[in-house]
This record gives sequence, structure tokens and C-alpha cells, in this order.
Amino acid sequence: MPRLTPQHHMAAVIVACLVVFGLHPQRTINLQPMLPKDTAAHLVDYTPYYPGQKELYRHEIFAPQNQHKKRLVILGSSTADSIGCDYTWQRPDPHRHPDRNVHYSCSITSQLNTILKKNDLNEWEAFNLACDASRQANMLFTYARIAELKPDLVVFIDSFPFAETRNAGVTYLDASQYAYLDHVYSQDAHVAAAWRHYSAFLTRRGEETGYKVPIETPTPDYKQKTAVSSHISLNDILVAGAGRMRNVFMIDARPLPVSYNPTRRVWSEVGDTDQEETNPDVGYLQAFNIIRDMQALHGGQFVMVLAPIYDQRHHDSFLQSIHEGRYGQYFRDNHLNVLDLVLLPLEPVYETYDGYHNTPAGNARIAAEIFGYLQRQHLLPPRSALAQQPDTGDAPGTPAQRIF
Amino acid sequence: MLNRLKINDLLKVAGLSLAYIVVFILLSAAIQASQEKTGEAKINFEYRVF
Repeated sequence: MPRLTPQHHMAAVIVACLVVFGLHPQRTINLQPMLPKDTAAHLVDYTPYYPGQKELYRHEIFAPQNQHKKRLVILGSSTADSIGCDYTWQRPDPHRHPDRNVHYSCSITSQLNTILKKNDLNEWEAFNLACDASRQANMLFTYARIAELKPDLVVFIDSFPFAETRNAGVTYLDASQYAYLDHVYSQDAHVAAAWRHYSAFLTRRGEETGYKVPIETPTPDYKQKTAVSSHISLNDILVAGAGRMRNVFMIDARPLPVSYNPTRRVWSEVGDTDQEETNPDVGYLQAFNIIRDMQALHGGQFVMVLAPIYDQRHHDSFLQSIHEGRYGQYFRDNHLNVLDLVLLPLEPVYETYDGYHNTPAGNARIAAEIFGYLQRQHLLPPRSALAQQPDTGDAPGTPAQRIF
Repeated sequence: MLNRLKINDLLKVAGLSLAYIVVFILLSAAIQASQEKTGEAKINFEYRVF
């Protein structure tokens, strides 16, 4: 063992500092040419939550381990996202930590995955691409980003007509994202025709509603950020490795116990009579044709789900409009596959905490209804004979109806 | 004798420097991972709307 003096250590620390913090070889040397092409995809910190429109490549649907899964994608707004386990999702409770009881396991998607596994459909995985406050336009953008993955099944859950309001949420997109939509939906002649019609409709409605379509930039960039990288440094690998270790050793915290708040709202079924919010132009429904037609290009399926809405259960004119009225007529004329769960009698407080958003128990019932419907429609394979556990789709309540 | 001592010292400093370089690189990566909360994307929900 060589004898090392403090002077040796001091000199070595100075040299090491100069190299590591002066030259940064751990960041500047590109290791990509020596690594497999898909290495960058393995270095991403994937999430089951909506990662933001500009970070969508970080969603777990893009993770290499899910590459060979059959994908069931959930789109929509907060009703579909449903990661809030109780009312504190919208009204944080400062007396609890965390103040929002939010966890992916509370969602409809997570409940669907539980049912898929219990039915031994292990090659299937449900992915939650819904996002709080979403409308059609930004969900069309989200779908455009995942279209390359050719999802087997897309389920758009809407507290109808939330996704159609605010001119379908066109202002959630910036000009380059809108140009990206234009680019993706113009690649097939049939879809392009539907998109052109819908886009012209949004532009016209933008003038009428004040929610205007973002103006395209002179030189639109059709590329969105992806995991693909031409430069991978040692630092990138080490940071990803540290993240992987944290993921393994840290405990995945469970959600807090569900907190019930009977005074959250008055539970009288009066119906929502706000015309602007409940009676949008039927032309907005064209957005669903676009997703349906894009899905058809690779043999995928599309189902629209009308989510349970406590206030609308006894609202005759609303029910009439979606069943026999102009919306129902549109669904029928356009052969849209619609599952109507508006009348699903979720129990106030215990299954739905505000009439739109649900506790895990309510989400489990919705997931069971969707799963049962998809099986009856032969969009999911029948329950495997190997499955030994009972189906969770046995929640009591009104059976789901296919209205068209 | 003097030359031999210098070479020995240089070798020792070079070896030690390599060790410190490895330690510093690992430390800076660990600090970065901690600051960026890498590995917590699934464990901790973070609000990201649009």
C-alpha cells in the first residue's frame, strides 16, 4: 500500500475538480454512437400521470416495457382522469399532508387495469391520457401524439358536453401545436377531409365565442419533443440510474384514506339549465369522428362514454337531446359507438363526491361498466378460462346501456 | 533519487485524482437526480396541466 500524504490528496482533489467541474467530460462526451439506438428511451423517467402537453413523451405509454402491450387509452377531462381520490382534489385540505388526496390508483384507468388482470388479460394495459380541464382540441393533440403507437382501443369519457365547451378548448394550444394537429390529421385523405371541416368550424366558432384558434406560425415545426436523442452523456445515464434506484427503494406511497364530506354540495336533482354549457353546437361532435377515423386506419376502435352526471339524471331535456334529440341523431347518423352512463346511479358522497367526480368506489363501478360493455362489443377478448378470480364487474346498479 | 520520488508522487496523485473524479461525477449526478426528483414521477403526483 503506497504511503499517501495530505499533499497527495490535496493535489488530487484540485486535479479532479478541474476535470469534473471545468472540462465536464461526464456531460460533453457523447456515448450515443457506442450504445443501442433505443437507449435514450430507457433513460426517461416515465409517469402514469399526464405529464403536460410538451412532455407527453414522458407518459408511461411510451415506456419500452409497454412496447408490446395492447393499449387501451383513456381520453377526456377530470372525470376521465379521475386521479382525485376524494373532494380534496378540487378543494385541498390544509390540515392533511399531502393537502390533495391524489393518486393514480384511484382512477378509472387503474380500476380498469385491475379488472383486466383479474380477467387474465395480461397483454392489455389501460393508459390514462386524460387531463383535468381538457376539451376536445387538446385531447385531439394528445391523441395525435400517441397515434404513432396505434392504440388498439381509445375511450373518450366526457361529462357531456364539457369537452365541447369554450370552443373545444382551442386556446389550450399554441400556434405550433395547432400546426402539429393540422399536420398529423392531414396525412390521410379521409381524415384530412373530416379535420378540414372541423377546423373550419372551430375557426368560425372562434369568432362567435371569443375562443379563437391560434394563428399558425410562418414556419411551423411539426416535431414535438420525444425521448430520441443524438447525445447521451455519462451524466444522463447516471442520473437515470439514480432515479431507477430511487424508484426501487422508495415506497410508492398509497393514497390517503378517502375523506367523505356530506356538506360538499346540496344533493337535489334539479338539472343544469345553463344553455351555453349544456347545449353546444352539434358540430363539435365532429371531433369524435376524427379520432374514430384515425383509429380505423390501423384497425383500432373508438368508444365514446357519456359519464355519470348526478344533476342530469332527471333532466328530461338533456336526456332527450342525447338519446333521441339532435346529439343522439348525430351519434346514430355517424355510427359513433357511444356508451351512455349518465344514468348510472352512483351514490352521493360515497361514490361521487360532487356529482361529476368520483371516489375510488365510484370509479370502480364506471370501470366495471366500461369493461363489461367492451367485452359485450367484442372489443376486448372474452374472459380467459385460466382466470380463477371473480370478475369485479359485479357492482350493483343500472346496467350500462348501448343507446345506439 | 529525486526523479524517482517525483514519478512516484505523480503516479499517486494521478491514481488518487481518478478516484476523486469518479466520486465527484457520482456525487454530482446524485445531486442532480435529487434536485430534478428523477425517479419520483410515478411516486409523487405533480400538477401539470397542459
